[in-house]
Amino acid sequence: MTKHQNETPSKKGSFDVWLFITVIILTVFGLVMIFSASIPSARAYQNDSLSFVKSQIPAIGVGLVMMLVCASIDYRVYKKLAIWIFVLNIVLLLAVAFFGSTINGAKRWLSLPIPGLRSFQPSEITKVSVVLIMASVLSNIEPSKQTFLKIYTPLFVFVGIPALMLLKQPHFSAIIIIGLTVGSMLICYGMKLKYYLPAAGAAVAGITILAFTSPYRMQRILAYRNPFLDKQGDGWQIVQSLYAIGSGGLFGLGLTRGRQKHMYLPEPQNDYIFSVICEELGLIGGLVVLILFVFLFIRCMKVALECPDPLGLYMAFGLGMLIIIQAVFNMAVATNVIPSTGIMLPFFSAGGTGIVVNMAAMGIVLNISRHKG
Amino acid sequence: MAAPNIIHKAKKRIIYIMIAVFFMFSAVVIALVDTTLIKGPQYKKEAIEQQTRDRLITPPRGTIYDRNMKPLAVSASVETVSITPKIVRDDGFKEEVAKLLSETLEVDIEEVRAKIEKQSAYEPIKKKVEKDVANKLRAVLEEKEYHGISFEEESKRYYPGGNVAAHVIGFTGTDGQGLWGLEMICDSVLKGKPGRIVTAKSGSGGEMPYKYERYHTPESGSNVVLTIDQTMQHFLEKHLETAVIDNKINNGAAGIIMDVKTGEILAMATKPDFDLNNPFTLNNPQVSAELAAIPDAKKRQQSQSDALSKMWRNKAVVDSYEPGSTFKIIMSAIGLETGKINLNTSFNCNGYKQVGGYRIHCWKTVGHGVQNFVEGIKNSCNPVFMDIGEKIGKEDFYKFYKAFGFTERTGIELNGETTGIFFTPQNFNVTELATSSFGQGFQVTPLQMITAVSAVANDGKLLRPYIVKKYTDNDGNVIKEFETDVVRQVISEETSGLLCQVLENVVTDGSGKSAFIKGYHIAGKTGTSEKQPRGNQKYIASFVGFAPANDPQIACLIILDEPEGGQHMGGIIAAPVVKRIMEDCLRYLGVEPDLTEEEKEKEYTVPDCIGKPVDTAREMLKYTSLKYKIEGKGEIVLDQVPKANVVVAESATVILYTEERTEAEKMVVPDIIGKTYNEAYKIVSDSGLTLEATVTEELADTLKCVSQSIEAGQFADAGSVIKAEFK
Repeated sequence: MTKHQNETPSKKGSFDVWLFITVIILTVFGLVMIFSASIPSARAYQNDSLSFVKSQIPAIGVGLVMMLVCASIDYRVYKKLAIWIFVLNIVLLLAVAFFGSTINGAKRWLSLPIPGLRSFQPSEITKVSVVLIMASVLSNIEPSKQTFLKIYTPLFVFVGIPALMLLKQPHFSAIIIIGLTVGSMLICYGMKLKYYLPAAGAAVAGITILAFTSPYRMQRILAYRNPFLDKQGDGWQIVQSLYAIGSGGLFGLGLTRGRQKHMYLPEPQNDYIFSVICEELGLIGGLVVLILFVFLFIRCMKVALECPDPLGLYMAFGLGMLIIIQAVFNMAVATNVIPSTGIMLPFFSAGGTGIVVNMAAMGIVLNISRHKG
Repeated sequence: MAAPNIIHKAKKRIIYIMIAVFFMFSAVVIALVDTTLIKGPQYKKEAIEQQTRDRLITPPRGTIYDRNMKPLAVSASVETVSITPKIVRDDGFKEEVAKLLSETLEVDIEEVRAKIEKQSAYEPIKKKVEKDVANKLRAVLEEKEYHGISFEEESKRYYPGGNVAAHVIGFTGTDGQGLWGLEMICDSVLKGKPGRIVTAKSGSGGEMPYKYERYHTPESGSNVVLTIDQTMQHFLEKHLETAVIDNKINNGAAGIIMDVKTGEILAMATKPDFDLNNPFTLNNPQVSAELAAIPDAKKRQQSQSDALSKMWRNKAVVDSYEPGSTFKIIMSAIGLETGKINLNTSFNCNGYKQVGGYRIHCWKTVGHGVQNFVEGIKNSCNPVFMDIGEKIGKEDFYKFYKAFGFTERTGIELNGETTGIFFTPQNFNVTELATSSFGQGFQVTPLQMITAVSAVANDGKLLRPYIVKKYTDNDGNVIKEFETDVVRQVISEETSGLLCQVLENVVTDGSGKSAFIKGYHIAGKTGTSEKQPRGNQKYIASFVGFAPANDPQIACLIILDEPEGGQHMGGIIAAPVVKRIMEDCLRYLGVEPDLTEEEKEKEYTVPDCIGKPVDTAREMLKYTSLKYKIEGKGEIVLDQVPKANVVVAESATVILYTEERTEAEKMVVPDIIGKTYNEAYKIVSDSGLTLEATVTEELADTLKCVSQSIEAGQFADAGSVIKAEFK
């Protein structure tokens, strides 16, 4: 649809409207589902059935502003800005390590005195920050001139350091997402095959050590293989998620009519919001969400493919992958395709930082979309 | 920078990665379709199972009434207290709740603690909690704001009469299932159909905010109205009990009163009896002690259950016995009916009769000499009846034996009925015929015996005895009514009339003299049989009679099994019991005594002694020269039997009650003014009375009683209805 712009490649065009619309649809849809899914937990734990919605709405507002701001800032500034965002993020992660608040055994949040942003999660920023700096780094190394050190030095610094800090929180799922996103970026960049060996080896070793050192991870893998074996224990959340999706059938029980969100599903407004969607809106509703993400993914990839500049290409690709990996993984956990791990569904899961950062990331992609080759 | 080249290569790789991502999406789509469409129905079913709580609602069990609608078995509302462990734990008052529950409900605190820690959505703490206890607990829970404790309505069976007609009425188990007697036989009628409430619950066991409730209405059980008359039951039991004590009856006693004209059982009792409100408590402390001494737990349990089934056994329909001389009524009937004898047929008794090589003795070893049939039955002479048996022959004997219903169950609505025992045709020869002629050698059940005798009294028509009169619903509408069922005409009306006269003679002037009541024509026959094996000095004394002889209305049979009080003759120990029962019953039924002029002069009107001091009452009765008996240690006469202004014969005894009569008789009316319907219902039921009021269920806990039909402190018959008004 934008073919006529190909004639003036270096000039700025209009941004990808479809991408923008998709983001808005996902965000609004997400807010509706947060409203439906969060009521029971909000009532039980916060004494206010709308507490999640009430903190999500201002965050969406901020996110919308961030998206528009990012869409209007030329993406090329990140070549210089990325390192500062990275440094700022490291500072925030350090702040979490020292002053962070602990929820469910994980120290991931900073309490901010800003209304509506009661808890601020720097690890969400980490994801985008790593993509930005790696895109910037990769665009500086011509693939034909790549050396092991040239690649691995920035990897150690820009991925290794935040990964270690996330490990300490712990926020294992964020590490996986960052690792997979950066990995896909390296593939896109065209890193030499033999260079993958140490990274893959390290990843396998790391995962193995983590799986065996933390008994709960091993149990999750066992529960994944047959969740019904220990329905009341380790298999609980998987079984509850399957019950929710199964209860929905083809058309669902109707919006707000879900039953599994009533103290059966853990975090129905967060990790398992996709199960609530399927229970209330059925297979149809689940597929609509999935298709929206596929469409978003295609739009992001289209932006990357059409970008004439490696920096924009890597950035659009990396940010698109970042969103889509989280989406696919979240849905895969809900349907028990992969072992359970706490991954949020972008635009749907309740959480202020997540929505702001994701919308900002899409803002960056929107800006890149104005530059076509 | 060779950007275009780099970008060209990167784009290719992006396409590959996109394909990889689409594969991942496909995996999710496949899993989604599988979970929703293929495994969906199963998951949904399991999900609903965990999301709902399915509770049975047992409808109130029907009431068992006597023929005058006095309640014999009633259900009162009780509650089951249960907890939702997770809510109790999350509430933060675990220990306080455990303590409160264990104290109010009298359950072990450790047990409560363990239940609170359980990973389940529902743990019952105690069943059958009385309403007032539940209310008290509810009030405390409300005040302290403890959560997670719930109450469910249930019903509990009460027997206002306690031991009255225990073997007949029977009892229910803890689950409300009829286990014995009519409770068991009529279980399906009484219990109704249970309903269900399906409610939604959240994962923590709490309520769902949405109205998700399905209610399947329970169907109330029907009421069973018996043919039993509580008053006559009381007469029977009172006199039977006295006989058991006076004659040191070793193996129990049974008694039946039957309506001769309808076949209705008016009263049926077995002694010793047991308390229906505690049917699993042995009535004999000696037996309990023996049981406790058995070291082996298995054997102890076996002996315990044996002792219980013996205690529960309804002797009147289960235990067959040799009828002895009472069977001579039947023999006479057969003899007269077949025309083999008439009233003047002459017999000779030498004190024995030679039958088939055996010399069978008369109870009077020196013999009765020459006597006619009437004299023969008055003397209860065995050779006379052996002669009659010989004249009848074994074919006719067996034909009539069968016609009188001795070879089959009567079909009464009671558990454990037996048929009795008779010789096989090959074994039934002259000797057996001879002994059978005076009621030895075979066994019948008490119920068969009274049914056969009633046929003799009822113009020869054999009726099916029955004890269930009708089923009614809660509005008093009759659902099903049972009627008199004539099985067959056994003997002719003439034979019946003839025999009634003869049998009255037995009472006025024969072996059954002790059953004679002035002014009442009682017909009957005594019986004494030696139990097998012969020679061990164990006897069964019995008397069966009916009255009035000229127009028979009721028949009464008494069996005393193994009297050890020195006397064992039916004429001496059983006949007087029947006399006392008949006397009370006939007066109660309003049968006018038929007195001669001479007797009438000695007739007295009973004065009104109620409310008078005992001494004054005593003087009043002395003045009328009536005999009296004072029951109780009180100073004021509270009740009397017979009532004031009843005309009685000189020999009558007036019983003055100075104390609250036993629960089977009189109840003190409680004060229910100011109580709610539910409270009043419980209080009144506990007093053995019945509350009648129109209060809807929603208001049963709010409206207060403003008036009651019988004032508090007054006495009322067990089961009497107290009408109350609630505002």
